[in-house]
Amino acid sequence: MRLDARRGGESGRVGVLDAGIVLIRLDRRHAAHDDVCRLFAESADGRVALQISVVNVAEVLQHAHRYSEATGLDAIALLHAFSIGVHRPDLEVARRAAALATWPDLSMADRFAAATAATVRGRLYTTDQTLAKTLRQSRQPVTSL
Amino acid sequence: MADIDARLERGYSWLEQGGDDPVEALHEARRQARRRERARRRP
Repeated sequence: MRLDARRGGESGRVGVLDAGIVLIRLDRRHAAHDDVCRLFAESADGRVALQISVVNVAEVLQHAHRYSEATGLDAIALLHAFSIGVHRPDLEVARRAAALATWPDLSMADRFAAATAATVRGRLYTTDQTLAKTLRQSRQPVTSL
Repeated sequence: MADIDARLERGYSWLEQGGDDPVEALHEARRQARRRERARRRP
């Protein structure tokens, strides 16, 4: 799915979520929960256009499996409720993710999050300090929560 | 959205009572993936 930057309102803000950000939305014990709630609300209001790679959605589903069984809340429904798009990687994203193998210490899931952000020219929101540090070193926009 | 909010509230209580930490579970899975990646790259 292509990201329509106009959805980000006049600011044209475009963001890509890493899996941990969605998981924080589920857990108010986390220090960044309020920040993530605000970001999701901005997406629902159309002030920022947020997406998440389907690869990272798989991580969310994996780690929220017991939560979903207990609460009946499906993570996909949560994304839809807050107007967060699911980005399906095409060959361009696959090539970028493969090229990022030269970066030390990134998993494939890390690389898809980074490659998606680069492809849609958005800011990556992540809870992963290793990934955030790598993106800062390569001068890509990133917010670590 | 009201249904989502209600389930989120239920989820907050469930996590607080049960002790699951999905964010930490994600980070641990990624640490393991990185260890595997480093091992794979080792000559």
